[in-house]
Amino acid sequence: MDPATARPAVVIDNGTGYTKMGFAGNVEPCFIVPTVVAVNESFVNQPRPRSTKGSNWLAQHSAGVMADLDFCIGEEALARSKSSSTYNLSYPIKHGQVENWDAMERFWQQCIFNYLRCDPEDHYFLLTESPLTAPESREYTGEIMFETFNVPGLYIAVQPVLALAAGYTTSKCEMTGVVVDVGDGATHVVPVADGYVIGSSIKSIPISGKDVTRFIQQLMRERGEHVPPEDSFEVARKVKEMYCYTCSDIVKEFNKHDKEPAKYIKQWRGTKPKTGAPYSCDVGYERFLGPEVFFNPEIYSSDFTTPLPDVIDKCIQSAPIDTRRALYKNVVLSGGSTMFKDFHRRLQRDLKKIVDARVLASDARLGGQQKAQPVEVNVVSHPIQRYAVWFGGSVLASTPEFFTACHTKAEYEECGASICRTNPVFKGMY
Amino acid sequence: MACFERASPALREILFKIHRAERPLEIDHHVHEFGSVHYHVQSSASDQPYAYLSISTPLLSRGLPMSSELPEHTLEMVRGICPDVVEIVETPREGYQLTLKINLARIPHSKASTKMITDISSVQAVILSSQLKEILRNVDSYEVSRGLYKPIKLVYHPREPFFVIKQPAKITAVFPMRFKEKEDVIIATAFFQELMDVGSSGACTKAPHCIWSPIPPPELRGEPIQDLSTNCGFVSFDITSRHVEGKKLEKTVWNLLNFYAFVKYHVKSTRGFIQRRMRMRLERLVQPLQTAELEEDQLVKKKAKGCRRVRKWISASKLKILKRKDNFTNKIKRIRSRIKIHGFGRFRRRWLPKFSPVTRPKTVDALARMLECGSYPNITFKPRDRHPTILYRLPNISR
Repeated sequence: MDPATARPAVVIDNGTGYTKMGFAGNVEPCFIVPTVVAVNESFVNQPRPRSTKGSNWLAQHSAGVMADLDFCIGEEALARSKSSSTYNLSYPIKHGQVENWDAMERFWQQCIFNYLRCDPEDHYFLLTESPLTAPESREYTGEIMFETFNVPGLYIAVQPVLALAAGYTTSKCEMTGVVVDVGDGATHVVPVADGYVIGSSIKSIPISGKDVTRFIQQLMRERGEHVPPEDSFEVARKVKEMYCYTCSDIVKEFNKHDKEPAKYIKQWRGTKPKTGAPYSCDVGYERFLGPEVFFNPEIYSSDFTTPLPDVIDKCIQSAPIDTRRALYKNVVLSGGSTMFKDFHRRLQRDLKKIVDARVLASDARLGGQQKAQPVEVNVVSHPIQRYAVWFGGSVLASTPEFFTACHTKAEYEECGASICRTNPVFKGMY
Repeated sequence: MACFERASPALREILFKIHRAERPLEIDHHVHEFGSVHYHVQSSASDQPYAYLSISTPLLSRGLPMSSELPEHTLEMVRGICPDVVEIVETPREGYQLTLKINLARIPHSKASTKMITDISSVQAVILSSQLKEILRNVDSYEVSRGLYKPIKLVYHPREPFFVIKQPAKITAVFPMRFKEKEDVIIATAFFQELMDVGSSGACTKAPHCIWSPIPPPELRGEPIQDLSTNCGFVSFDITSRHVEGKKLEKTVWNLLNFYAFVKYHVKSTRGFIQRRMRMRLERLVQPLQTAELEEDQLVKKKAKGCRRVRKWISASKLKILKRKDNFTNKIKRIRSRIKIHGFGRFRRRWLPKFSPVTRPKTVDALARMLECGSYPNITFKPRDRHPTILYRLPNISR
């Protein structure tokens, strides 16, 4: 019996914006850190020395090696890159996909040794990936985990399925549903039927949490608020997290703000990073216009103009016909950018409107001979939505079956990295 | 480096979260560190402002079965951390050795809170170092007076016992090193040799003297054989009185206890570093092949354009067609096989077997295979896989 199975598994959910990590069996992750690595790149771009003078070359080489080992992650990385110019920030994950494997490896190393302080040989690992990840990238993950960290077992789970599993413990057993995952870097609408992802119906939207932040930043700049330019993105992010909410109707909301500005307009106070002088600015219409980007994308950009409820509806309509009712019944939210107040109410109302219109139209077409049964639309929201994926992973990894479902080190040595290629969640399809 | 920090980062993070929260939080969190240390933090809205911290840690022992209760002197030390905030609960929770009741209302909301919470989260370090100190104090003065410096075997992680030898002028700590993987042994050996070299150079005259040897040091003579069989030798540190003066004592003890964790961290980091370097190198090697592939594609496209030529083909006699075809295939062959890689000819002469008609590389993929595997043509290799697997490529581990 492997002693590692007696210990709880380590669950790491790498998101584009934030990484959630902790031990299985807990309700919330130990750490939520920004997914960023600060690398000392002062030696990388230097020309190779022409002269073959041994000692000089050696000194320079070892200095380069030392610089290569000099890195940090998370909040520390952000602070370091601000205070000194030798560090470059590198974001290993872009739009939900790992772009820079070197940075990712460094990130994992720091997560395991300096944050969780555990020996990777002692614990099983559960990592997550977005539903559109290529099998190759899954292989790379497996290679890094088994070769570098020598983990006894690894499971790579699909984020939306975990998000569904998180809802499953709070209410009833339901592994069919649409997961609306709005993260910092990617937004996916993923239908899941009985725990299997319907891969052909996955829809993605080029609007994510970062776009909301950018939109707020733009609005504040256009209104002429005195926010220092180097800080404006950070301020916009904080404003988004603290003050934004979803309104039911933009026109009414504008009127409300105009009638009672004292009630709705908030103050943001900060200090300028360069001079340290305090400043303050007003937060007005941004509060409801930010999240509105999902419902009326045309206010943000002209490239993509399909509202989120329409995308969800299209996604369900493209799923197999016998699953559609169950999918409408269980629309699950996950990811930090679904945390706006009343987001789920608005989504449910808009989705219901689309569905009802369709039912009415079909009734009219049939001439009132047969009435369609009303379709139940339910958008589920729960308090742990922000790290629902992590929580789902924690639940999954604390079941005894988890250890048997893992790819083990022995299997890896037997077959190579190709064992990570297939994911059981997709097995129904290919 | 956080693995040398006394305070546990996870514990600190949780305590901070409870302390900063405006509303009482419901928290029930289990944290595991170093494989065998287990913390449990509990805080509930009904029992404010208290939070409960339970700890279960492997105790330092001399290899003998010992009661799992903490001795009195250790409890005394624990009481010493922030006396007005922390209180020891009489009967610890089931499965834990110690439960602390933390009165969060007494922690000020100022800068002092950072220090206090850091102190509380280093409770495990306090427990361990108090034990080590006690053990060293209890070494039979009788034995010492007779000049018998018997090694004391200490077990902290069950798999990794180490020895402490108390001598009049110094204390020697000996760590038998064992690793599961062959590569780890190589990396660690290199590291220890380097450590010894640096330690004995002029730069670190004040650091504890460090010796690595593949065979057990003479101090350990007479110990049971299973303790003396290792695959990576023995590392010993000589601690003199200078290293245990005043505040340094705590730090020295903690560093010694976590020497294993540090070496493991170093080995894993080195592996990551090697992998990164190899990936970089492989990318550089594959680059000329990819550019060659692109060039070749362009050439073929150019050939396929000629429409007039087709007409000519049709009007010609059969013999002529055959002749031309031969010419044409020869041309294609020439284009295909001659990919210009700077210095490749020399490389080929030296490393690759002479191209027999069978092994002649027909496509770029085959060429890549020859380039990568040298004289191991029976290994399967995918040139587009840029992520290297060291083991996978070695001939004797191939499937």
